[in-house]
Amino acid sequence: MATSVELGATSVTKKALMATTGVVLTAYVVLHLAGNLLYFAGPEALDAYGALLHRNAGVLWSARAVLFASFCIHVVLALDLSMRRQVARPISYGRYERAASSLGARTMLWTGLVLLGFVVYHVLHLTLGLFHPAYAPGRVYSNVSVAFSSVVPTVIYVVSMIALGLHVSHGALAMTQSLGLTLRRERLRALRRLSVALALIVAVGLAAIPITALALALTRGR
Amino acid sequence: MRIALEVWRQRGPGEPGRFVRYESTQASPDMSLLELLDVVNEGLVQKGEEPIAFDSDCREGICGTCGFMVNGLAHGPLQGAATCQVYLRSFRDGDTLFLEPFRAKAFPLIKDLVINRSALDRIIAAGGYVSVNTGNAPEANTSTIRKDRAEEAMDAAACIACGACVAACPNASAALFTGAKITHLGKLPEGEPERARRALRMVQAAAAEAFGHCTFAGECETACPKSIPLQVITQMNHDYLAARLSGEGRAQPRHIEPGTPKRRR
Repeated sequence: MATSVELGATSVTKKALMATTGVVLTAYVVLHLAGNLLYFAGPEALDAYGALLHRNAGVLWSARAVLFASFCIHVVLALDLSMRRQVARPISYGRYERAASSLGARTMLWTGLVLLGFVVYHVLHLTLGLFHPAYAPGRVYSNVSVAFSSVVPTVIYVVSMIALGLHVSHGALAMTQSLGLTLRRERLRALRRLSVALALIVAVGLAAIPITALALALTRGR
Repeated sequence: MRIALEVWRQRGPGEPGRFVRYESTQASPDMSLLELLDVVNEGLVQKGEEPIAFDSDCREGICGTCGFMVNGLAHGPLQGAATCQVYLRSFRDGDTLFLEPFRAKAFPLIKDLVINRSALDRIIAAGGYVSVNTGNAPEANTSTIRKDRAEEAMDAAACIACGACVAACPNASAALFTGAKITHLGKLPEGEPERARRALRMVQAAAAEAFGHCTFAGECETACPKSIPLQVITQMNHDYLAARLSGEGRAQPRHIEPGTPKRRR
C-alpha cells in the first residue's frame, strides 16, 4: 500500500464538522429551552434569568461567538454539500422513491433553510427589538408577552419550531454517526427513538411559550 | 398476466435517452423480471429492432452484475434481493413497471440499462485488500477471532458491489459500499494493521470518483440486496476520523547515511 495520503476535506470530514457544530447548536437549543421555560414561572424568574445571562459580558460574548461560528460553519457546509448532490447525480431519475428516509431526513435542507431565516428574524425580533411594538431591554417577560399578543409572529414561531423539531429528529441521530459514535445496532435503534423524543421535547417546549402568550393576550383582551 | 414496461432506451453515452413502452401478454407470475426482458427482447429481435441492453450473469443474486431501478427502487420492491431475484408475482396484473438505469456521475451510462461501475473497483484498489505474503495457507487456528466480530465482518463482506446503494442514495454516495469493505477487513486481525490507511485511502478514492456525501437517510440499507447494515458507514466515519486525528500516513521512513559526520543539534 502506498504511504502517501492526499490531504483535503472529504465529505466525511465536512460531515464531521457539521456534526460537531450540530452538537454545539443542539446543546444550545436544549439550554435555551430550559431557560425559556422560566416564562411559566412568572415575570420575576424570567427577568432574573435574563439579567443573569447579561451579568458577565465576557462570557456572554464568548458564548455568542462560539454559537455564531458554529451556526455559520453548519450553514456553509450544508449548502456546500447539498450543491454537490447535483454534481454526484447530474441526470435525475424519471421515477425515484425514498423507501427508508424519515420525514426529518427528507426535509433536512428545507427545515434548515426555514431555521436560517427564523434565527435571523428571532435575533432581530427579541434580542435587538426590531419589528417589536414595545421593546424594553431587560424586561424579558413583558417583551415576550407583547411580542406574541398578535397572531403573525406567533404563527412564524410555531411553524419554525415544527421545522426545528423535524431538523433535530434527524440531526441528533445523524450527528452521532457522522462522528462515528454508534457502532452497535441496538444502540442505533435506541438512538433513533431518543432523537425523536428530544425533537418532540424541544419543539413542543419552545412552541408552548408563544402559544401561551397569545392565549393569555386573547383572554385578557376579551 | 399483462405487464407493461417503460424502459429507458439510450443508444450510447452521449445520445439522448427516453422511456419506451413495451406491453407483454406473455408474462407469467413465475417468470423473473429479467426473463420477461428476455421475452421482450426476442420479440424485438424478430421485428428487427435493437434489443434492450441490460446486465446480468448468475441470475441468483450472488454475483452483483444485474441491477436497475424498478419503479424508482433499486433492484425493485423486495428486501434483500437483487433485480434477478424479482419475480412477476411481486406485481399485479396490468401493472406498469418503470425500468431505469442506476444514475450517478460515477456510473456513466453505456447503453440502455447498462452502466459502468468500475469506479467501485477503483475504490477497492485504493485499499480494499490486505497485504500478506503469498505461499502456503497459514494454519487456520493461528489467529482466533471472537464470534461477534466474525459475524460483523461477514455481514459486511457480503457486499457484491452491485452499486444499488449508490443508486438508491439521494446524494449518490458510495458510503455503504466503502464502509462495507472497511468494516469487513478492519474487523479481522489480518486487516487490522492497515485499517487506518485503508479508511483514508478508500474514502479519498470515493471522493475522487465524484460520489456524494452521506446523510444517513438509510435508503442504501433498504436497497442493498445483501442487507448490509448502516453501521458500516459509522465504522467508516470512525476509522477515517480516527486516522485523520492520529496523523496516520505522515510517518515516513527516516534515512540517515551511515558513516557521515555526527549531526550536532
